[in-house]
Amino acid sequence: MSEFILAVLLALVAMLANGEYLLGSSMLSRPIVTGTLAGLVMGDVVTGVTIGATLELAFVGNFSIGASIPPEMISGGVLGTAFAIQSGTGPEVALALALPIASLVLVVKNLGFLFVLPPFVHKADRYALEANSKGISRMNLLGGFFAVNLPIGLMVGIGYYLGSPVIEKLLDVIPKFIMNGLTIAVGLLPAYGFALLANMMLKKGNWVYLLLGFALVVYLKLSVTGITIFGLVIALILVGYSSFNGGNGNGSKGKPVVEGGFNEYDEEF
Amino acid sequence: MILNTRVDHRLLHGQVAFAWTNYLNVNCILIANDTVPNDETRKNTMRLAKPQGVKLIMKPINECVNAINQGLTDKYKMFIVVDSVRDAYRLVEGTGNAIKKLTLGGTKATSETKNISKAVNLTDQEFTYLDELILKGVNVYIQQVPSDKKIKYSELKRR
Amino acid sequence: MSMMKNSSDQMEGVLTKKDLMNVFWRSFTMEWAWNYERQMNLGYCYSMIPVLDKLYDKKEDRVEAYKRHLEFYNVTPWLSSFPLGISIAMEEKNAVSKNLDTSSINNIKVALMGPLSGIGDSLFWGTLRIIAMGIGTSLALEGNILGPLLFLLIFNIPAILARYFGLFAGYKLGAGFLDKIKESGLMDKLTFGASIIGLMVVGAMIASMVSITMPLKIGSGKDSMTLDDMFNNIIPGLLPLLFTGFIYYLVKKGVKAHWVLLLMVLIGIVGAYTGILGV
Repeated sequence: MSEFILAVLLALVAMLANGEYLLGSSMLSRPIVTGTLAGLVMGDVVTGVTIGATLELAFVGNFSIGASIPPEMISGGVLGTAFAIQSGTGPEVALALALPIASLVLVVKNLGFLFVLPPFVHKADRYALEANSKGISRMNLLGGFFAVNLPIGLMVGIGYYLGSPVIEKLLDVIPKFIMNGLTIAVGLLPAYGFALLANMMLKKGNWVYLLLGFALVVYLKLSVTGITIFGLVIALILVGYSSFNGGNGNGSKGKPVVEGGFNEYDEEF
Repeated sequence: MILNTRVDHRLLHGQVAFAWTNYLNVNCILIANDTVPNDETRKNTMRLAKPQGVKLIMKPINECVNAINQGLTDKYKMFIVVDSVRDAYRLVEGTGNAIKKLTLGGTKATSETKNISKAVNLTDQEFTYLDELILKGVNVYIQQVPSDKKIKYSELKRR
Repeated sequence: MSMMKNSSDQMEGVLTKKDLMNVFWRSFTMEWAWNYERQMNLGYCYSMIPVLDKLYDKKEDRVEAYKRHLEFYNVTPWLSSFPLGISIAMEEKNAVSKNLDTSSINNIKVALMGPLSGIGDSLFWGTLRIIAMGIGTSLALEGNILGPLLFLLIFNIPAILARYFGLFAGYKLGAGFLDKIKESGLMDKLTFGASIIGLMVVGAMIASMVSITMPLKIGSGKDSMTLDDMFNNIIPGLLPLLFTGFIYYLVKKGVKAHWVLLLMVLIGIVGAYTGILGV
């Protein structure tokens, strides 16, 4: 398939991935999905799936909560996977490319946010004053498309078309130990995502569960699916136990005393 | 002891409740606000965001000022949340030097505000309040979540 | 503010199930036009429009209603249907009885944003996504296309169910519903249970997806062993655990993402060059 057609298809993949936000925020933008789709386009699904999985681990901490917009992982995922497959290499190249690409396209995305989207938002306000609900609806649908979806598609398409000859040459120049180094880094990278998650979830005392999951895998060789089920069972037991023992769990009718000796629920100084 | 005071127009919510209470190791959150204490529905929703093991108090600004001055808040490791710069100003004014640190988390953008950083938008009056607080010796920072870098308000030029 | 409806099948009042389903489908676009200024406002208003247009005929009423729902809004996307349901119930009450203080409609929306996102973010972004990702990734790493498929299914089925039931719970039961759940301790139990599962999966992933190989041999002849073997004899998977712990320490210290990732690339390259680390 010609490079041009590949570029167009990859752009469409990127736009579909971004289209997740039209489709209930269904995680289509995650690398595990975009890697697979890019692999499909490039004619090597299996490698795409594997690369997608590796990138997913690298980007596991990459999500937006509140007003923070993280690096643009759709373009990183699609282009990283595409370039890696095209050059016959693997996850280490995809990763090395995905991170800078994602940071670069974030800049473009932010430009879209700063300059393209606001006019749609303000036009919607004007439609509201005219009681024009169809107008408001249009602003919602077109705004997202022109400010984010189209730019990402274009960046990916153009990026692939212009980039693929360059990437080939670049990879030829890089010495073996650096490539090996990148492969090693690929194995290390998930630790960052997991550290972020642990940071989000760890509270007093519940680190035992982390250790438990770890221990079950290294000693009993359970799969992640197995751990999930184990976790579910343990959670149900513990939750059931606490209501068996303490009545209402921690409903606001109880009067637990916090360390420091004051009542947690009386809402008074 | 008051560990931090935060200005956030959404008062108690996800980021605030989980990230900050863990990071600062607080055991009491004080919502200092004049309308919330009379709005049972809103109080209910604050209660929903309250982390386990942390006490929640929701009182009007005057009562908070009095309680702080009477030393009633000393026994807590406390995190205060207000929804406007003005309320933060009133708290500091009334309590002398009990409040040393003020974090600007998020304020709404309106036609009268200037955006100085991500989610922080201030009116001219609010700039004046903050400048005065700096003169009173309060450290004012902009920080969404504890893992963000702290940006000193005094180092930002008005845009 | 109780919005109890009389029977569970028939909507009382003007709105039908079809109207609510219209809102349900529209809510899928909640994040599409997310903007810095008012975040999910366009998506929220877009979702409310079928109901608003049905309830209000007069231009002034519609204008006010649209303006109401174009205000700042942000909440965990898959739970956005709950405030929508409540808004719908309140707008219906307003249209029918005309003595509602309309500012309370947005007051409740605003009040819900925070707590709902707090629980929603950690349940969906945290636990559900981690489980889906853990299972999906472990299959996908071997090139199994079931991986990405399972990932999407495990995440989206509960997410769509939450979106569906959230809408009707909000509409029929109102904001008091959340409070009742909290009082019964169910909310705390749910978050507690979710954190157990989430952490176990993270622990499992540290063991199985962080790979560190140290091929250097120590000792000589028959007694030689690689550094790997040495560490694994103490505790299998000790290296990944220690390494993740080190990165966790950096994260807690506030080291920014790109520095951490750069550090890892550096470690990888130096390790490869010196032969301390292996592929």
